[in-house]
Amino acid sequence: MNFAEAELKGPEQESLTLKHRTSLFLLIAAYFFTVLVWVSPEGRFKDRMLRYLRPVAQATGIAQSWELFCPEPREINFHETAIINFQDGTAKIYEFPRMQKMDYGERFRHEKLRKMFYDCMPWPSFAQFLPDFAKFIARANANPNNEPVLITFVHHTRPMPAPDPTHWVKRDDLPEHIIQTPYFIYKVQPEDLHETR
Amino acid sequence: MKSIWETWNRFWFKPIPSTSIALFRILLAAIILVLELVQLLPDFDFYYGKCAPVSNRLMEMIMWQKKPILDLFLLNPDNLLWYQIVFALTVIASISLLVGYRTRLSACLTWLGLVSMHQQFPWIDNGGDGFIRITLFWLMFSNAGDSLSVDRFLEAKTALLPEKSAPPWIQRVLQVFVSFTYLYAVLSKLHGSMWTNGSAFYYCIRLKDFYHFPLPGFVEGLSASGIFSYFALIAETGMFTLVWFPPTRNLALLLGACLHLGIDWCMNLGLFETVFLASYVLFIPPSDWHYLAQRLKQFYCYCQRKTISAS
Repeated sequence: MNFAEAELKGPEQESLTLKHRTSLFLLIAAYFFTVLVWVSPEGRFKDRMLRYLRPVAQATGIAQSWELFCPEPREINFHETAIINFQDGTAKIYEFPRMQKMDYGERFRHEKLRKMFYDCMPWPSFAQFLPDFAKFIARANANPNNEPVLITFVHHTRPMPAPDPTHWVKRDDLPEHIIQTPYFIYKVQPEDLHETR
Repeated sequence: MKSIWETWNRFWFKPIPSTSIALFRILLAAIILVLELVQLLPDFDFYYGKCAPVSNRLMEMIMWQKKPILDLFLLNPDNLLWYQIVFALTVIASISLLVGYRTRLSACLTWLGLVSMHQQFPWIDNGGDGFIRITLFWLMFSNAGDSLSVDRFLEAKTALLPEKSAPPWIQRVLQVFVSFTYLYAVLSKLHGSMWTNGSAFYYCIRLKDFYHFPLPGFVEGLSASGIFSYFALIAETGMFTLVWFPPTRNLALLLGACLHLGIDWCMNLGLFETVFLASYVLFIPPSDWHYLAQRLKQFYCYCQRKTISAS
């Protein structure tokens, strides 16, 4: 049988019974109901529903959001650094990966790092995990003769110029991120330097 | 009333050849392999291994909170070798999904592996990863192994495979899901003012962390910003309206493809654009694939004849 014949002939499998169809419809309806609740605006109904639906959605990985550059794209550029202070009073600056400094291949390979260091780490919802990130930086710079004692995360930012036809700025001429804001300081404990997963 | 019921039944359950969903399976598996081998493997130790910055203890306290989660890594959380085994098994399952060997089982194992990775280190996932997990979930129940697969080859015991038809309800769920993502994106964009006043594109292409390939000068201009901002809204609207009607379907897919290829040129979003583009094959009817295959076969014969006559 060729393709055209198969298409005309229809099912090779037995047709689904009404019971099967109803069950499938209920499954599909339950799925889309969960999705709609998940993406709906915050409110009492959503809270009540998510009490039951959240475990299922999170356990099965169907939790979702489709808000890339919505409702507005960001109007600032930024990058992150960590200042590592050592026992002897010296300091070192670690710059978290900056995509625009990578070549095309590296940008693709390390896109996940961009997600981590740009979309998660600098924002308030991630604050609870910053101590572990500071410990990670401390471990990466551990030196028995001169241990790190203080880790400071610094946010370097600069708003983009507004689209003004009289002062048009091309993307290669955007200003450097000169506004610096330290947003997390961590005092390293000796046990932090030996902690493993 | 009867015709609505018939249309409904035809849409979800009238058997069609499985070519489109099988092609989608192949493209999705190829993308997953790139994700695993090119994006996750080089930094595996940082995300899931001995160098991982966030401890399981903290994850338990803040993220998991003793709620039920699907995470194969936690079957043996203190053994790093187990983490590597789970990753390797996920890669093998993805290869198996690509060639269509034990397709449903492969889809299930790949899904389990990816969900586990998501639970372990969720901060590196973008919308593309979520899209992959959701489509894999549905592929587990699908007939994606009925065409272009080792399963089908073994079943037919011959290289000349007859086509097999089945109710397309999974393909329909995936189509509705793809359309829904565009509807959601458009509604979210309309909540702000930048997409409607045409300045969104100006800001998007100036986000330094997303820089990809160099842009021609005219794309950076003020009028281009307006044109491309509105184009994004139109192309996305087409993907939940025009795509459902046969006469306008190809136009919607073309606009959507231009949008995704354009974004991918301007901005580095990993595999996000690629995975959405791959989902477009679900909207192309099997008869179109058949027509394309015939044309390619004719072209191949023509080239062979030319080679023979030349020699």
